[in-house]
Amino acid sequence: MEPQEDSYEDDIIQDSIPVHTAPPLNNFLPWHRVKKQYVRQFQWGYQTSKMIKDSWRRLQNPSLVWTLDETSNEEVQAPDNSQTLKCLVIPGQDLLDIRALRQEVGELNCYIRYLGFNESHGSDHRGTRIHVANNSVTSFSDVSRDSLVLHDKFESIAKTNSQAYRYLKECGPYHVVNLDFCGSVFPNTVTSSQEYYKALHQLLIYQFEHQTSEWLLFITTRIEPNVANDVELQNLCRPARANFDNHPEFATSLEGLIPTGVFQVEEAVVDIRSLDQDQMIRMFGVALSKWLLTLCQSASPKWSIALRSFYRYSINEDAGSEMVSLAFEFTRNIVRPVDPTGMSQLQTTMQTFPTEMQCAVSIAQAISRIRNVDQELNSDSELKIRLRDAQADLLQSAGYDRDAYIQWVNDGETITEN
Amino acid sequence: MSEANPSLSERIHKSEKSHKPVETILKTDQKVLARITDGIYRQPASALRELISNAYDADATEVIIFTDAPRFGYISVRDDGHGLSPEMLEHLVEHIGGSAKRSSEGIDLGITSKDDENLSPGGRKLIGKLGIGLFSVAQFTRHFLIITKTPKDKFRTIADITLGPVAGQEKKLSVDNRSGQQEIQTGHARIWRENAEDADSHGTEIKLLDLLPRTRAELASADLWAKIDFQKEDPDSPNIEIPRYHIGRMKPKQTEVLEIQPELPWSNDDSPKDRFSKFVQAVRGAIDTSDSVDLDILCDRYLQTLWNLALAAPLEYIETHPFDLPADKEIIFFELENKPKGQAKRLSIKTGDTPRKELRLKSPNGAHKDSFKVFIDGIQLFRPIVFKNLPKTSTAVQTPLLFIGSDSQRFEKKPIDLSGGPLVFEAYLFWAPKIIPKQHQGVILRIGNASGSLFDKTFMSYQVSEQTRTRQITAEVFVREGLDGALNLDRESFNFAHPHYQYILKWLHSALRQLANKHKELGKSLRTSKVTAQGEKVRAEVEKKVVHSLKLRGVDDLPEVILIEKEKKADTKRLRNDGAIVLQKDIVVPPSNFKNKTGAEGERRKNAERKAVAIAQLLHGWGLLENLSFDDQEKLIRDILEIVFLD
Ligand SMILES: Nc1ncnc2c1ncn2[C@@H]1O[C@H](COP(=O)(O)OP(=O)(O)OP(=O)(O)O)[C@@H](O)[C@H]1O
Ligand SMILES: [Mg+2]
Repeated sequence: MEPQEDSYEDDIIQDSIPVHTAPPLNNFLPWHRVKKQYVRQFQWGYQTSKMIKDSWRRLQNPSLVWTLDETSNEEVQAPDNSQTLKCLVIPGQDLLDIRALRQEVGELNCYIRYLGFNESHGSDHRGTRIHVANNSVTSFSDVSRDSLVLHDKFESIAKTNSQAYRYLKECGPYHVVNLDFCGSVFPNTVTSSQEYYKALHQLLIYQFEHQTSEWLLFITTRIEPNVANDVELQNLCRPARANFDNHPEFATSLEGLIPTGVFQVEEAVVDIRSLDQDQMIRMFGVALSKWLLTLCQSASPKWSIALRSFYRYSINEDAGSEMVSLAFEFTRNIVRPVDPTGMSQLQTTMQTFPTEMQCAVSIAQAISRIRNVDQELNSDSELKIRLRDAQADLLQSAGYDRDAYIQWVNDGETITEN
Repeated sequence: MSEANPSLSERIHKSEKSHKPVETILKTDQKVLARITDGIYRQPASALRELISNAYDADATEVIIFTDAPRFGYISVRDDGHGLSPEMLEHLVEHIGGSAKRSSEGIDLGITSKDDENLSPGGRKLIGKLGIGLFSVAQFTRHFLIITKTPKDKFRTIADITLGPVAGQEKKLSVDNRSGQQEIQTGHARIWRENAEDADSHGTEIKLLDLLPRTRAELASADLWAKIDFQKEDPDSPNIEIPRYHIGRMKPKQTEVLEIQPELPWSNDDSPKDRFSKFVQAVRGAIDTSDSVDLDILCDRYLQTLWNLALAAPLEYIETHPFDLPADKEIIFFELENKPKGQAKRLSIKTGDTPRKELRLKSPNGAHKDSFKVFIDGIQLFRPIVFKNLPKTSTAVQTPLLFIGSDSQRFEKKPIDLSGGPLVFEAYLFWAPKIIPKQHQGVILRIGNASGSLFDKTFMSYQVSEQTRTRQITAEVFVREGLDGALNLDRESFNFAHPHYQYILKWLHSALRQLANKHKELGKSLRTSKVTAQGEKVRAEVEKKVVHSLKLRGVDDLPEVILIEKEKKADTKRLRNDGAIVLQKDIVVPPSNFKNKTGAEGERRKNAERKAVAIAQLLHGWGLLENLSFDDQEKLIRDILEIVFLD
């Protein structure tokens, strides 16, 4: 809905009579590629089920505390009553992300309720696909039927007087926020990424005020070194720079990953645009994570943040750019009261939370563990077939032609414009 | 059906494999019905009501509506009913105005119960009968989706429907190849089937897309906000206030942000039921600040729409069904009589029992256990009529009165074509000092448990001028059998000439008369006892006064004064001998001064008698009686009294 011209007609007569478009059931798009399924399964699905299981473990064993470290993923007894997993998503027209998540957490006795933001208008064929997909996903017994896809862009939540923000409040707080951005959070000279940062900031404000348990934030964005915006990137790097100057440990952990000059001094001696693609990706990962960490530490109570996983993969059509997916986990630093006098003989476990520095170092280490999805898939053809078939199942349940999909993957996943 | 000319449903089934949508045109059975798709309904809320009714007919237990208010970008109405099979869908698009409900066709299609075509498969009394309700969405849009699935079906069916002339084509007549009949094209449908993994799920979702600007404006109370804007520009314009409760307002010409944030009587943390409860409480609570509550002023169009849907839909009462109210002191129950000159009888119900038990009432569902929930934008609707904890007023009758009746007319002596068949109904008339909101004044006729109309505040043109009393009555008639034929196409009004309508009208008017009589009677006796109480107070005051005056004179002992009846005159001597002052009553307080013995006059008389005694005691205390003959004593006291009571 574009803002309309100021004329009387517009309020009385619509611009055009809507026409139907046949829904494409065998027209495959970039997010149908097998690599996307890899991200869905191994990052989004895995991290979500791990967060849930970790919380159960802590529930059963109060001496366990939340940690920055990788925890074990061994099985754990599910609580008796089912939990509602509230999700905020930017879903594609097939809602594949929710479908995949559902399969992942289905065994965990979870009930999903989601709020989606998808700008596509309701009347064209993309809109129709979303309506049908929303209907079919919410028809599953483990998905709430009042889950919604709003026709707004996610960035609108930045404005507290927006319809988007109203529903953000109505449906939250969230356990999983999956921001699979169509645009780019990577500061570039072509489009503005400012709105995304505003919206992320607003999201954190909302979550920090309302969420009490851990929650996950997945951010997927394109990285375009060729059009990097130096000024904005310098800004984004500022929080990382502060650590770099004060904490040798943080600096050491970045050695070999990013040219030291980038974060070394207040005014960078290195022109960010001169970084190569690999360096640029890592630099952005560190900078974005540290930016989030700064917000976490400036809040009261403070929040801790862990970068749980960092993926990259290529965009077939554009060799110059890469996609990255980051998985963050947040936890609130609530410290229980302690009695130093010994008057109260109550047995309590002392709870400590990682310091800002520890979080920063852990982020740097996570950056170094970046996973290249293309390489993983190329080196393991069995895995690729497994993921292809898993996605074929999802697509079939989304109304697509399964055989046509497998054929498409086998033929090299080329996108034909429709 | 031949291979060469497959039916629409056969073609829909084929799309499972071909992935090619089936194209078809909508056909109406009769020319006149083509107008339906242009909209015969008056308000957008009517369309929502029709969709809710359809969900009810499909045995849904839950309807979830999303309106995107106050933006109204799209509206979705989702149920968990039995869904539409391709065969039902075929019937739907090819027979607009020719519902399969209430016909043997409905049984074949699985739309109605196998045993009774007037019932849904699950045993609900069907609301639908015409086959046009769905097309009331023309109020909202020319473009909508039906996404539907029947239980066990491995596919869901999607119909993308546009109404009216398609892309530039004029609406035109066409001749159906198969029947050779002339038909009118009222729109276009594209229908296809898609795999469904959730084989067990079932239900229907109607998605209204591209809402018409006019409808969006109406739902968003655009006229109201426009007036308020106008007022800002022109301070002399009549004062219009922003309603206390509203859903907010989008920035003009914008779809992203609101200019005015919602003011709602509930908060985000409230459960869907609590939200509605608080809404009802807020409306009722508004009586604290004004003499009557007008939803029109208190709420914007959106909230009024919620309220009106809650009144119309076959829902549970927010608190209790009036037939299930417990017998306690808070309400007085009456049973209505079915005779033209009948009189209501006070119902004495044992504690713990209810009128339902006492009168064997069946509404809404008889023995059939049923649950039907409607949620709009996270608010669960209930019938917002409340019978308890009413505001206090200064009227004589304070306790609400509930008049309950039922009737069953077989019209056996008349031809069925003329009578419209049997008519069975139950009803109540609820009298309370104030009806809140005032939109609840009047009567609602419900067929089954649903209604299309709001309260008729004329009480079906009740002619007796009882302005005050009729404003104190809420009534509902639950028709269990019949009246259907009297319903007009829009389901919002009735054909007054229909015998069932006329019968209920007569019954209702008699009920109103019975209510009025009882109410008057109660009022009178209550007013009397009020006077009595007042009189007693006066008499007590008089006694105090006498005691006090005599004490100042040093008289501690009050003489006994007896006003003796004429008949007992013989005792006078003996009593005087016992030391009493005996005065003849009819001389001291002559009956001619008092017209009758009941009510206020009776009280005046009692006061006069008490005062006569007091005067005698005073005169005696001052020693002024001793010198007078008994006759003169009586006359003196009478004269003083007459001066006292002179107005
Ligand atoms: N929510 C629904 N679930 C299942 N079937 C539905 C639903 N809505 C409509 N239908 C089907 O579509 C048909 C047409 O609906 P429509 O409301 O136009 O007519 P009706 O209900 O039969 O009669 P009326 O015009 O009196 O409402 C219905 O008879 C029913 O078979
Ligand atoms: Mg209907």
